[in-house]
Amino acid sequence: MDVVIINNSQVPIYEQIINQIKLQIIEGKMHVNSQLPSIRQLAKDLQISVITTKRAYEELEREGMIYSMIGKGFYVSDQNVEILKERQIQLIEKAMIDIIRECKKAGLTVDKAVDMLEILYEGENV
Amino acid sequence: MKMLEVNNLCKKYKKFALKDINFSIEEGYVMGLIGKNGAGKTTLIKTIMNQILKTSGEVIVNGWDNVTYEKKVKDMIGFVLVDFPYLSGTTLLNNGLLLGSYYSEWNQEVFIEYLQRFKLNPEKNYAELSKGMKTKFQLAFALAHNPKLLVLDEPTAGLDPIFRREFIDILCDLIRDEKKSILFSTHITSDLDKIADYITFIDKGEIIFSDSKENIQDKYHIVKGPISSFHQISNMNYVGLKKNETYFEALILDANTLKEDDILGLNMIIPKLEDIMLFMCNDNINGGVSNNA
Amino acid sequence: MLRLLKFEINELSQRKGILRICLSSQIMLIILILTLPKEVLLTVTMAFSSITSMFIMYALDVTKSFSNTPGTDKRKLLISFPVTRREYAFRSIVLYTAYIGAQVVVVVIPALIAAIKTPGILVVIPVLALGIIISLGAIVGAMFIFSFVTGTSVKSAVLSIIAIMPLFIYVGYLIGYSSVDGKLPSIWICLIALLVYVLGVFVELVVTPRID
Repeated sequence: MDVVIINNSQVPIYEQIINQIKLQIIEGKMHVNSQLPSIRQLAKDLQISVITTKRAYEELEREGMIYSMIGKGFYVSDQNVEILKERQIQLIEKAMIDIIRECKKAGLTVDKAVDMLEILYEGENV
Repeated sequence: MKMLEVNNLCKKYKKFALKDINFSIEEGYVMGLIGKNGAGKTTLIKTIMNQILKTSGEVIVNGWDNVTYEKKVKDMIGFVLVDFPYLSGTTLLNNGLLLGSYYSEWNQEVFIEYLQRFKLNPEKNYAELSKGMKTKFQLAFALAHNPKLLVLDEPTAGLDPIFRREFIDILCDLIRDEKKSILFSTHITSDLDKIADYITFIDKGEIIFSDSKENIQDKYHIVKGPISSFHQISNMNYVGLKKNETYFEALILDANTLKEDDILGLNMIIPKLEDIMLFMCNDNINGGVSNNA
Repeated sequence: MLRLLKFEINELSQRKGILRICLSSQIMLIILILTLPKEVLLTVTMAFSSITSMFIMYALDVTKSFSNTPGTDKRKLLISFPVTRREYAFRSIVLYTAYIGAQVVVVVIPALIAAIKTPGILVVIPVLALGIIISLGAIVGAMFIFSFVTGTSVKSAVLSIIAIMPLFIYVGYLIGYSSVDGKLPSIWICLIALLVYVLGVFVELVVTPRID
């Protein structure tokens, strides 16, 4: 499992872990029912407190991304495709808002922007 | 089940006193103890280990009072202390044989294994060891009698970075079975940023806070902003304010209660333990401009 | 408790160097006794015994309150292990009392050998032995009392020496006195010394564990 912690970031470590695990699940890098490292093993590997890894896992479990089996550990849940799609769309929306902001700064009208989008969209298919 | 409970502990000296110390450590967790020099960390540890007699209060280790069951409690404690006077006239092996016999679960083979793992020659005379090697010896000795509570006072000072990493790993493995606990007192707060689950901060003989690192990092944030935005924090609970003509920074004590609007345009940084100490202690020294509700 | 004493014996046997010195000085002393003229005999005996006893003190870690010798660290060391303060007190008492016995032996045996050559010494020997027991008993008792009162530091070391110096002088007096007259010290002196010793034992065993 790939998790990288950035210390001193404005994002709490447990959130960083949650985000990275979520991303890997969404991207299909972690398969359904595959086992995650134990809370203590992850804490040891990342050199952080077990309370932090526990918090991250509990949050993920609450969101339904993973499930636990007592005495055995945590596993990746069967993901609801709708939820995944929604997440992707949210990410796209956010990226769009950033682009729109840039366009407005540069003085680009919405028509010009749509033109650019169409050309580039076509370009991607080739 | 609490491995260590300290209740209303007091220790009075002529010019210094530990007052009303209250904290506990559950099985399987690491408690970091931080504070300035002279804050009372070592006195607290000595009192917990019954090296010095407390004035009042109680210390309970694994359910046993450390005065009423003095021997039983000491049998459960492994320690790495500053300048601990192991026998200098003799070999490491002999130190183990002579002193290890005091412990009910002493295992000489395990002791030798740890010595070899830490690259210490068992036949070497204790007096010939460097400071770092003495620390490794203390750790090998402490681990060889299966302690329930590991008490560490500045254990990583004097260790090279390679062994420090191994040291932290050994501690992680030790508490994995969730039947042991560790009390880790140090100035090198970066070690605690990594391994500590809970942090107790002591200053002038009193506990300033004792909480999980997660809670601490939720509540305490460093706020930094341009001087023109200083008014935004004037109603907040902060300490250790630093301000000049261009910017200000302070440590907010209840960051988890703030809303997005309150901190618009300001930088909120999750502090390291060293930062928390700096902001809180500076506050005390400068009689600083602080806003404690 | 037994473990503590076993530990001390083990530790003592580690100090082979010092024990060898004690033994050699005793043997040298006996050789000197058998060869020296009787005028200087007693003085030489006393001198050598003092030297030997210093080494015995060092071997037994008897130097408790005086400076940074291993004795003071010993308590710090052992109290951190599964040893109660009372057990440690008992260990100290046994050790110091054994020292008194060792000191008597170290003086009496050469004196007995000297008596082979100079039978006049025989009369002096019981007085010598008693003098040593009395004065050392009082000194040991005083050391226990003063270590409680003053703790361990340079100031306390100085205070301890000042307190104990009169007793050392008295030792010298008793030994010198007995070597001239052969008369036993008065019963009162014996009782006072016993009292100081018992008081010291009480302080070490009961009082000090409660406050330090």
